[in-house]
Amino acid sequence: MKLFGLAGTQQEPQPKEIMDWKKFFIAFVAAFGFLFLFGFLWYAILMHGAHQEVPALFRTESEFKEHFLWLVLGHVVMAFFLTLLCVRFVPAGGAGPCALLGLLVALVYEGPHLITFAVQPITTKILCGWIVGSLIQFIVAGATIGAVYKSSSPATR
Amino acid sequence: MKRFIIAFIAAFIFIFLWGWFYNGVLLKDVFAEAQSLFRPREEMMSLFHWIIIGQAGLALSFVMIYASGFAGGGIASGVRLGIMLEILAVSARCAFYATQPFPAKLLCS
Repeated sequence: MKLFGLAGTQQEPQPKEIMDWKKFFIAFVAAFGFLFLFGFLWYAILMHGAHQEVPALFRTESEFKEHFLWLVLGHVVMAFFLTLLCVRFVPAGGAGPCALLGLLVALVYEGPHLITFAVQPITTKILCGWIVGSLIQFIVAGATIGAVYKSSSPATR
Repeated sequence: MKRFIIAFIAAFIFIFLWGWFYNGVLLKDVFAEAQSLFRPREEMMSLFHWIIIGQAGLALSFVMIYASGFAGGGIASGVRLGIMLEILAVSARCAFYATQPFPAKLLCS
């Protein structure tokens, strides 16, 4: 079964045959750059007011600075595994198919957001902001990865 | 489509039961340490349908990704996909840990 016209890895590919590590690295860096900058713009700037409605749920400015490395680490791991997922799942690359994969990955995240809403006293404004934010974030990150990886080795299918 | 629906139901039941057992039973004391970050029990129960919808959405999107690209690899492919998606989820938890005052024990759990 292929949903949304995505062609996945139906067989076990040999990594050496399909991976262009240079393009992989560039795609990973591009994905990290986008995820981090968009996250800052969306969650820290645009949603700042919404987050301030429930300050008890968030760290203070100084505490946040102390934990900033966790934020960077989280984005690095996120970008790396999203790139890996795109490369394995859509070995031929391409912005469209990878954007669709990004959409599916975003949908995986929406479930936990709804669960968070049920167990933590976040507002519906925050919930909606997180849902829309992660949809944009993963669709565009997927498209970025696909666009960069598309021009990879000719061995890719 | 029949297998897709069966896989979705199986995934949903597992996620629901495991979520209840792991978060509701095994990690109960750890969550209690950060009580102030969570809704009171009665309020949580009144929003319980969001947990069901969230877990159903999670199961559905997982099965959609598996069915559209990993199905040929059988159980091993499913496990690999599960590991990759879980690592993505862990990375999101690291970001949440940076912004929300959860105890480190909760992040590790």
